[in-house]
This record gives sequence, structure tokens and C-alpha cells, in this order.
Amino acid sequence: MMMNWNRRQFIGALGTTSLIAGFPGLVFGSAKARVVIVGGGFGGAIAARYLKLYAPGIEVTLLERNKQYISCPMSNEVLAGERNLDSLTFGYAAHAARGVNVVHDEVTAIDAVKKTVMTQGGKNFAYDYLVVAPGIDFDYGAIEGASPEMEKTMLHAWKAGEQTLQLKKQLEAMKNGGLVIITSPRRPYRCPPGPYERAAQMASYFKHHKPKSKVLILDHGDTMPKQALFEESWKQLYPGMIEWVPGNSGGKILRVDQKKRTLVTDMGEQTADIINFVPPQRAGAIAQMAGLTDQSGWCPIDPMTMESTIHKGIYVIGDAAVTNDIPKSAHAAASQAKVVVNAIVAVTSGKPVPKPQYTNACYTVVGPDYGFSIVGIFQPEGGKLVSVKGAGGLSPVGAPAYVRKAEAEYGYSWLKNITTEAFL
Amino acid sequence: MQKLVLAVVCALAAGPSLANDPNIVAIADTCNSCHGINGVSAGLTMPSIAGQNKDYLQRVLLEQKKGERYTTIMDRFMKNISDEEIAALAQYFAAKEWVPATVAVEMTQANQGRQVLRKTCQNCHGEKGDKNSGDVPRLAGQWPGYIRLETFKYVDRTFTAKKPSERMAEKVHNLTENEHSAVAHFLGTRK
Repeated sequence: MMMNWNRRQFIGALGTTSLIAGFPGLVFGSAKARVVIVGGGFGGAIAARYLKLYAPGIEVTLLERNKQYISCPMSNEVLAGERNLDSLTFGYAAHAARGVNVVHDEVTAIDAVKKTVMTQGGKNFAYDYLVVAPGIDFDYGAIEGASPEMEKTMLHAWKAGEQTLQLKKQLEAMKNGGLVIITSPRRPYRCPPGPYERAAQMASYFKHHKPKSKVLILDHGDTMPKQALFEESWKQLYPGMIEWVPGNSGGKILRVDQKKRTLVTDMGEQTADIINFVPPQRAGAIAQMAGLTDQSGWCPIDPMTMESTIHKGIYVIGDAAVTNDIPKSAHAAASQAKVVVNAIVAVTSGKPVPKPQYTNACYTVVGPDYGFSIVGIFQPEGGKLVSVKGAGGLSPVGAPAYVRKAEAEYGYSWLKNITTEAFL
Repeated sequence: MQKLVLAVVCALAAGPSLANDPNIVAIADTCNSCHGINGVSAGLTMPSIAGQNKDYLQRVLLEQKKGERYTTIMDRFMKNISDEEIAALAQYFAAKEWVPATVAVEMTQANQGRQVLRKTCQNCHGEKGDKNSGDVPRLAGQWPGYIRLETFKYVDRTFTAKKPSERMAEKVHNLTENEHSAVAHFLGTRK
């Protein structure tokens, strides 16, 4: 259902009056606002890009600790040897060229009252609007016996980069007939189809190099996203190579024994040649430090604008935010970035804020020429972000080869375009 | 009075200019993550929609919405978009500048592709493949990967959905796989 949003509704929803009142230095309509963005992943980078596109006069500072960003989307293909990490690695030169003040530094504190961001490098950045896009952090404390030290023996590879390469090396060193365990964590987590796509990409590698090997998924959840599509593809491409144990059948990890290198579930102790332990997750550390999170470990927001319900004037986008039906994906973060930019540009130029548009497109590639997808469209409803009924949905099950190949190709093209949108 | 009536009628015929409505721009911006900023695709199989003619864009989006035209995912998006919004989105992207794909020319393939264009495509798509009106989309400068995926619909035996165009079906079903790739390449290298 489409709703008509008039300006008054938007201003009410935005709390615009209080926003403007909060900026004595901000002349209404001058577009000379200062926006600081914390985090240069898909959400933060795209917010910076669109601010410069629609309001070149706004002063934009992008704070990102790393000089390069490595895309998680499609990084499971690195494990199968289908692509290298370079194809997923991007810098921030294009942002600098467009006039974004790119600062590679670690944010250590956010003062929501004085509207200042402090960094490890000892700098202070004053802002009129703050966009916080810190991604995820791992919540090892949620599982008995787990701790960050276990990354030495049980990789997560859930932030693409060095661990992705290490995991690939482990696969290469493993014997034919070996076993890999992948854990799928407590919901919500970054990239819901990720563990199952990863299982498929590992099986793709095994099929050609170590055909007696297997992948076991120990799942906290009772269902998986795109379930019928995954199950169909595993059967077609990798029969007998992937086993999935849902939470209600004993897949939940109850305890970790790091010394013995075992995972304890209702089925007893589990171990494998390779354990790819994907930990439970919560909002990125800076969101915790800044007090933007609630008991869930994620950042509650106003679904009309992505503004924090804890600290006014701070917008939280991407994986770190509580977004209800919206999955934690790059595409979703991109659409949230545009919602925030539209709100900031409208308010600073004295124009009405457009109706927020929240979308998600997520392609999964399970092997060469074999892809499928989910589409979601979301709207604010009763204080939450809710899937619009009658739109979005999954690729068909039982689709012919042409369709699977086209979806894989469009998946690569999606990557090409969204990384260009974010970084090039 | 007559003049005034005429002016009003003309204004109505031209349609309300929704294309600059911030609500339409906000929807259009959600297209960019796949189709590129302002609808200019960075590749490889994703079509550029900036500068494509309005009638074509509107017709295709409406057909996709109604499930009358096969698409991998566009139908799932269009179900949320009203017919009026589709018209405005078509107008919005049609008004953007056409930016040709960047494709390095491979001479043998390009020459073969030129022959295929002359023999098979130019009656409808123009001598240079740049006709862009009515139900004919501009092909010159479109990404070859996209053109190939589209023309393969007419020859891939596993593609069983209704073909988008009967005329296209007649024309391309006899082309070899090489000819499909060659004409897509040639068109992609045009400006």
C-alpha cells in the first residue's frame, strides 16, 4: 500500500524541529551542515557518495580505520578458487576526489551531547549530523567457553580478508575425505544466507579436488533462508556432501572446548578437520561504546529515518541497526544510507523529506552458473520495518538452467554496480 | 478562453511531471545499486537504463509487474510500484544521458557482429543499433553481457517462459552461438 506523506507528517516523524533547534550554527537552507560518517563499509561509503551527489555544499567526513575495504558479498567464491580477494578490494580515493574528507583513524568515543567524535589519533570532529555505520562485532561471550583467542584454531572468516585466505589454505591442506564444520549463529547476524552459500562453495571446491570430503552445518536456527533453493541446489550439485543440522535437531552450539577443539551440542561433542566457527554477533564496538545499543546488542532506530531512538541526531545504518524484517545485507545498507541522506538533504535545504524506500536484493551463487535470489521491500509500520506483502520474494524452485545461469550473472553484475556505487 | 483551454489540455496531455518529485527520485535511487548511479550500469550483464526511451521502459516495467514478461527479479520489485510511479520512473530514467558501455574492441568479433547487425537486426534497431523509440530499445553502447543474455532467451532450450518479442524470436533463432556473442560485442563497442 502506498501512503501519501505530507510534509507535516515527515517533520513530525523526523523530530526536525528539535534537530534544527540543536544546531545554532546551522542556517536553515544553507546546506552548510557538517556530516560525520563513522564506518566506510557499504552503508557509510554510499551515504558519503549520495551526500556529495545531492548536496555538494555539505561538509562530509568519512572516518574509517582501514585504508581498504574488502567486500563480504561474493567472498565465499574465494574459498572455491573462483575469484581472488583483489577482485573484492576497494579504496577511498574516489571519495576523496569528490570532496569527502576521508580520515583513516579509529573512533574511540562519540559525545552525543557536544556532538563530537573523537579518534585514536587524538582528533575531534564536530558534527551537525552523525551517521554511524560500524557493521558487526563478535559476541563470543554469548557461548560458554568461547573467546576471541579461538580464532587461532577456529576461523570465522565472517569479515572478508585475511581469515578468508587462511580458511582457503586450510581447505587446500585438508585430506580428501575430511570434514568441515560451519556454525550458523544466533539470529540476527550479517548475511543470513552466508553460511549455506559457504557450504556450497566449499563443496564446489571439494567436488573437483577432494570428492570424499564433507561439510556439516551446525545451526542455531531451525530454518535457513532460501531453504528450498539451497536444499535443491545442494542435491543437484553436491549430492551427499552437505549435511545441515537445525537447532531443534541438535545443531545449537552449547559450549566450546578450545583445548580439545570441540563444539558441544545436544548431539554430544563435535569436531572436524576444519572448524569454521561463525560467532554470535552484535553491533560494531563503537556503537556499544557510544551507548547506541539496547539489550539485544543492536542499535534501535526510528524506522522512518534510521535515527537512533537513544541519541537524537545520530543515524545508525547497516548491519548494526535493529531493522526487524530487513536482513543485514549490503544492499539493505545501501537503501538505508539513501533514506538518511534524503532526510539530511531535505532538512538542510528546507524541503520535504521523501517517503523512505527500503529494499533488499540478495543473490546467492552456489557454484558456476548457478544462482538464486531474494528480494524484499519494506516499510515502517507500527514502529517496525515490515516486509510489504505481495511484493518481493524468492527465485522459483525447479527453475531451468537458463534462469540459474542468468541469476548468477546478474549476481556478479549486482556486485559490480553496488561496489561502484560505494567505492568507485 | 480557447487558448487557455488548449494550454490546460496540453499540460494534461504532457502529464504531470512526476519525474522530479522527490518521492520518485527516492524510488529511482533504489534502482542504482543494481543498475548503476543514475541508471548508468558499470557492467557486466546489467543493462544501462539511463537514456533508454520512456515508452520502452514503461512497457517493460508494466509487463514485468503483471508477470507477462520474464525477468529474474524485476517483477518482484515492480509489484510494489504503482502504474503511475512506473510511468514517472520511465520518464525519469529516459531523461538521463545515455552513457555507452566501455568495451575494448576485438576486431574479428566486431566485424562479424557488424555483419549480423546488417543481416538480422538493423531493420528494427537501425543501421547503427541506436534506434531508441517506441518499443525499440537502444542497443548501441549497451553492455554485451546483457544483450547476450537477452538474445539467448530465444535459443536456449531450457528457457521455456514466453519470449518477450515474436519479431525477435523470428530473427535470432537461427543465429549461431558465435553470432550471438559477436553482435552483442559489436553493439557494445558502439557509442
